Amino acid sequence: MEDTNFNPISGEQVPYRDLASENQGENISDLKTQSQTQPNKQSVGKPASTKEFIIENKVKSLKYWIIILGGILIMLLIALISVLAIIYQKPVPENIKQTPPPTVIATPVENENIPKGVVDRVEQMQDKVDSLDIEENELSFPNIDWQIKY
Amino acid sequence: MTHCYELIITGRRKIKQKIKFNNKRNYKKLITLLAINLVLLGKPCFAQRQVQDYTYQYEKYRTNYDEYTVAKNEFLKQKTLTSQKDALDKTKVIITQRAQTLRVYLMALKYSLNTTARIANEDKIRLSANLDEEIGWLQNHIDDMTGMNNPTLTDLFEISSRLERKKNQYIILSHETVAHILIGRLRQLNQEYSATNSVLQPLVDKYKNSFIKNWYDQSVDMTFRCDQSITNALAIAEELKKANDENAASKSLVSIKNELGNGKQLLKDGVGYQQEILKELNKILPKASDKNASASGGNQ
Repeated sequence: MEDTNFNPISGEQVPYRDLASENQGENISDLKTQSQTQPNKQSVGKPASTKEFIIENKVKSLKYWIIILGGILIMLLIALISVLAIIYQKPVPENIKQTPPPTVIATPVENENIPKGVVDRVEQMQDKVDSLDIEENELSFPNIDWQIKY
Repeated sequence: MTHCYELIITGRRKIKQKIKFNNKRNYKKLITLLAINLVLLGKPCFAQRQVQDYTYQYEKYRTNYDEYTVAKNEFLKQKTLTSQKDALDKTKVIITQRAQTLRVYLMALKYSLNTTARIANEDKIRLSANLDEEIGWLQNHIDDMTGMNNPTLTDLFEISSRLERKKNQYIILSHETVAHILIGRLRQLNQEYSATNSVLQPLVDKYKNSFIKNWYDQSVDMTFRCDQSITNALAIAEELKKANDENAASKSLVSIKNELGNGKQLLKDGVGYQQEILKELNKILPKASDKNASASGGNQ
């Protein structure tokens, strides 16, 4: 009977199994699949070379650097925005009048409007100019016969 | 009891007297109002009546002239006594009506001259006197015509020629009068326009806005330019006074009308600038209506 209660991570010794003899009688396609996957299993199991290890480390460190630089960039951006916000919030110089916030209701100053008489006067002027008759057709000289004779 | 009765009667009398007194006062008020209305509305009504009278007489002249032409042609064609009599009657009528039309025309001109402001006094007096003289002459001419008993065609033509000799004089006089009336009208309007500028000036000075100031300067410039047009028109009117014939007088009147037309256009542009000033001021200042609205809002 096979011992199925083994744990490969625990480091216990795995009992030997003759897989070739076990697979005898199975079809050829299954065998082929097995033979193709075998070398890969072997390569994974092999330890990585030093060159590959170095490259892997460099890639890792590069990733870290990218993350760090990205973080710094975001921090700088935040700092810039906050600086700009502070600048805009600075009090306006005395000689420049600040517009009141929209919540404040503007009230007109006493006597600070165009007198109605002035507006009416300009309107009347327009009517008068339009109606000015410079032809005086009503009083044009009559077209009469100045030679009554036969 | 009788005392009470007397009291009631005296009370009634007093009330009646009071009503009478009030009625009298109302009549007085009514008469005063009517008098004021007559004074205020009388002037334009009378001016309109003068023009209407002239239009009516001119229309009558046209009708009479058509009848005269028919009668004349009939007489020239038939040479009969009946046609001659008819032609004679119609000729007499047309000569009289022509004089009447001219008389009413000169009267309308005189009225218009006297009611137009801003005409130089010396021109007004001189033209008015000339018109009066011609109106009187035409009345005499009409009287001569109507006073004629059984006139011959030759008599009629002779009297007609007296008026015909005055043709140039009448045309020059009427053109000169019309020119001064029109100049006076534009002058009056220019003065009103200038006064409106003066009303706008404090507002322009108060709100030292370069844009508004620019419009104002343009507006003031229009007054001076219009004044220049009036001066030019007056110079041509002087030439018109010295004109010898109808053509020269008519040409001068056309030139005067052109100058005044320019002046009118300048004032029209000027009013446009004044409106721009108001528009700009409206942007700066709150309107009276807004002010009232805000005040009422505040009260609420």
